[in-house]
Amino acid sequence: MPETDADVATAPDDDQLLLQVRRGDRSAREELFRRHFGVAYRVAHRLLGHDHDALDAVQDGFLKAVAHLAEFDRRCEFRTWLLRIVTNAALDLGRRRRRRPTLSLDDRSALDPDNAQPSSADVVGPPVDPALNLHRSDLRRQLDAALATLSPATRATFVLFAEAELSYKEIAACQRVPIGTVMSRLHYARLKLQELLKQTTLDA
Amino acid sequence: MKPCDKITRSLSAGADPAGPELAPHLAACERCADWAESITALDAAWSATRPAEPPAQLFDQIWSRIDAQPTRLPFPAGPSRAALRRLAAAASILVGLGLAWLWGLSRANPRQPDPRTSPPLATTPAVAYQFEAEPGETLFLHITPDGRVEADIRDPATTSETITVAAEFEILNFMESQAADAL
Repeated sequence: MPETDADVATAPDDDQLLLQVRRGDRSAREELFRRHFGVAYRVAHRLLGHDHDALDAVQDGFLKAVAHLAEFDRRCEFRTWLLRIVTNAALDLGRRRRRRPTLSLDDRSALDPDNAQPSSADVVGPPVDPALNLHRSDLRRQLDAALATLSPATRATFVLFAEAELSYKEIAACQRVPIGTVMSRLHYARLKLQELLKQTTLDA
Repeated sequence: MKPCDKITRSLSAGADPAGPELAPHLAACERCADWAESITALDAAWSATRPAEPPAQLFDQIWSRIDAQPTRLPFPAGPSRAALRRLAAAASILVGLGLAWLWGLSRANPRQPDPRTSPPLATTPAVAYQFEAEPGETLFLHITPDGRVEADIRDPATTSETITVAAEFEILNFMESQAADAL
């Protein structure tokens, strides 16, 4: 059911939820993590390219965050803190496992024969750019391949910026690097990704 | 940095190409306009390939495992552990630097200084370094042969690797924030 304006207006923010968690409210803790699950999953998926791996990374990250929640001192936003932990969990997982071919939740019929349904990857909406003449799944594979050519730090910087929509100041705080470093990484990431996408267009 | 480099870096960092600071340049510079266009294309491709929102039951699945773990309450009563850690780190840094300074003094002046001519210790300017550390992190200080102080901060919660944080990053971040805000 979609949220109404009244629901949004009365929903506690993260700080209020953290206060409730302090008082021992377990449902507040669940809500705190639930509301950031989607973005954490998307960030992990971009970094790992596979939905099962992304879920594993989110679970690892959430486990660490819950275990260390007592030490969160609110010097940054809870969301930023949580995404930092999930990003590091995803990078750790990526180092331990070889990156698998891209597979989205839309493709879960391939994972579970009991859940067979048409993949929406190729049928939702028109291609983003007709000149590219690529379906979304192909485009995603190209983007994933391009992302994989970046260093983990540059990849994480771009994903936090483009997927989680963190500001470069938040990313600097998150990664503990100067803002100039974040801007350089973003520029380099765009340079590489755009070059590879252009090359893909030419090849197509 | 050349103006075009500055423009392309601003665009890469999310500056609005239609904004009053960039639009006049983009109208006159083909190279920067091409860059802005390729950014738009990449952003469109990125949005079009956004991973699907995970079903709510997936959260329920992982949360049932997480919720079974024993946890501690955040923000324990009394002085916070973070504050105590920062205080301890600051104290140990000052003590370490003080000892290093005294050691250097004794090397420079192996004889006992004349109390009538040497300056009192209390008037010697103190040297302090301030490091930002998350609660739970361990701070390691290392004095290099050339006298530089390096800090290694290890955060067991977020990474299995040591993160090296140069003290000047905090100053650079602050200065860059001020410069960015001033633009």
